[in-house]
Order: sequence, then C-alpha cells, then structure tokens
Amino acid sequence: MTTQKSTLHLLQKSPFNSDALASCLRVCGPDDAIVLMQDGVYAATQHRDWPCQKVVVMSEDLAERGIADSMQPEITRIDYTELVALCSEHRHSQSWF
Amino acid sequence: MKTFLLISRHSPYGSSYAGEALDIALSAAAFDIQVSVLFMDDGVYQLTRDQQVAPGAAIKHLAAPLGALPLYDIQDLWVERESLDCRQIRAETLAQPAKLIASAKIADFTNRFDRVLTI
Repeated sequence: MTTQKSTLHLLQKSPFNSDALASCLRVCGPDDAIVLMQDGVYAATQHRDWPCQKVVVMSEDLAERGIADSMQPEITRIDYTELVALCSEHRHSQSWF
Repeated sequence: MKTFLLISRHSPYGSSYAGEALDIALSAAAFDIQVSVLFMDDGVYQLTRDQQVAPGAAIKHLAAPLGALPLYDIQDLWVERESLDCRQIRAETLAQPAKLIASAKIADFTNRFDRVLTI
C-alpha cells in the first residue's frame, strides 16, 4: 500500500498535437505515476526519460488504435480494474487534456 | 476547512474550459472550501489585462468571474513561472496579483491540498 502522498497523472492527449504531456512531465514528481489513456497512449510509442518510476498504459485504448506492437517495453499495460486500484492508491488524480 | 487547488491550463476564449473552471472555484468557495488557483500553460492568458469581448459574443467575458475571486475570498492565486516565461509575459502585468511557482515545486505544492482538480 502506498502512503497516499503522490499524484496519479492521467494523460489523455496525443503528444503530437498537444502540450499536455510536456506539462505533465514538467510537474510530475518522482513518487507520482502516469497513466497514458485515450489519445495519450500515442506517447507510449516513443522512448523517453520518464520523471517517475511507474508509467502505465490503458490496454483497451492501445489495442483500439492498433499500436500495441510499437509500445516501449518499460511501459506496463493495465485494465480498468487496475486503473481503479491506482486511483485509490494515490492522494490525487490529475487529468491532462 | 477543506483545501482545494484548481489548476487551470486552458486559454480564456478558445473553449469554455477557463470560464467553467472559474465557476467551479467560485462555487467551491461558496461551500466554505478554501480555494487556491494555479494558472499554467495557456491558462496564464486568462490573466492578461484589458480583455475586450464584443457585446453579444457567444463566449462570456472572464473579467466578471476573475474579479469575483477576491469577493469570494479566493486570494491565493499562483502562476507557473515557466508558462509565463515562454510566453514572454511579465508577472507584474497580470490583471490579478499572483505568486510565481517553479514547475519543479508543483508536485510538492499539490500534495499540500486536500483536493486537486486540473482543467
């Protein structure tokens, strides 16, 4: 169980037409976690130095867009049950859209 | 008293997000919640002086809800320094007095609040 100190960042926009990812990365703390969801899953196709340990992607959104094969290996796929668990483990959830 | 941080990231007239975010801040304050607002990204454009909205325009002028913030005792306004810098806006030209915060401090800052909402 986490200490409920950190923030869960929900990234919902493609990094190619929005500054949502850049802004999220700018303020993300080392104990935070990032969920790539909706068009945010496109960020999973590029290698980058993430500011936090935990970066996950919504499996359903990834499959929907046909990019599951080009995903970076350091990113874990999760389903909605796991998303709910992540939300409850973190003090805050912040949506980036 | 619960503390609430609203992070407002959207420009004032490109969508209804900015106006609705301010409505949320005012509503929360009316329910005895201690509200702070952090403007970042294009949200800092909400604070430019001298915004002129044509009469009858589809979008509402932000001066009214912004001006109402102090009346609802919302005085704790913050602006992300990096968002101002890259838009070449000087803090002293803003329509409301706001404190500057560096992006690297925002994670800890956020943790101080009971509730956080990003719009």
